[in-house]
Amino acid sequence: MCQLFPELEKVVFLDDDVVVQKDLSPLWEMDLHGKVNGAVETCHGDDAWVMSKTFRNYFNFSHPIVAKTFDPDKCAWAYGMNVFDLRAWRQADITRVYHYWQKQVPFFSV
Amino acid sequence: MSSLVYRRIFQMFTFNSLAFPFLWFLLGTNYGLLGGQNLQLNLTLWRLGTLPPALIAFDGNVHPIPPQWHMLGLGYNTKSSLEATKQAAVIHYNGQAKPWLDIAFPHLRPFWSKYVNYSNEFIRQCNILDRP
Repeated sequence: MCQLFPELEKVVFLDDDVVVQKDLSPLWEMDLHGKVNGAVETCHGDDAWVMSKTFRNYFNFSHPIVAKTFDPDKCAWAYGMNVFDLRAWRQADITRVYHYWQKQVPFFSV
Repeated sequence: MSSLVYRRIFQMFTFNSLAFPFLWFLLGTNYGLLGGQNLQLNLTLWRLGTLPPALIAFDGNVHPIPPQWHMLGLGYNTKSSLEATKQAAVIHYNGQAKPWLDIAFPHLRPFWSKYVNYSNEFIRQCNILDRP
């Protein structure tokens, strides 16, 4: 994303299956405390199915690399409406980390 | 044909019949030729989708924002409260029941369909459900 928008410092990201019902400009002012991605967490909430997602739901914890690196009870978050601070993105080099983990997936795995 | 050619052909067959099964055996073992434990068959790192690699890449770099900014789950058959749906800044039809499909939930479709101009030429070409 920071390569797509080299001139920008912040991006509000929206999926194509959303409806925007209110003014989103306060998101712009929101302090992300130096973090890259402002997102809604999906591990607590009224809905038991949609809002009960931790890393355990998305990763294979019987895989030794996953089990060694991540906490299964860590709260997951949602794509669909995110605030990205592209300055922090470049600083943390998210793109490189993302590509590194993509390469850990064996090419023939299903 | 010279006997050398026959011999070459024979060598090719022996390579095919012996070397490839052996390579497949190595690939099938947990600690095979190429990458060690990373190459375990049927043991992928994460489920399909774009979220899991992003969960990893942004690990430690996520700031939680209040849930009323982004209401999820309108494409699943959840007990999505109509009041909360009205109040949320962004509503997200994640899940299968997209509001433009037959399988949409009728009580959740109006939040989307009230903004769709069904008389628009391009919207009509999209073959989406013409029912608010």
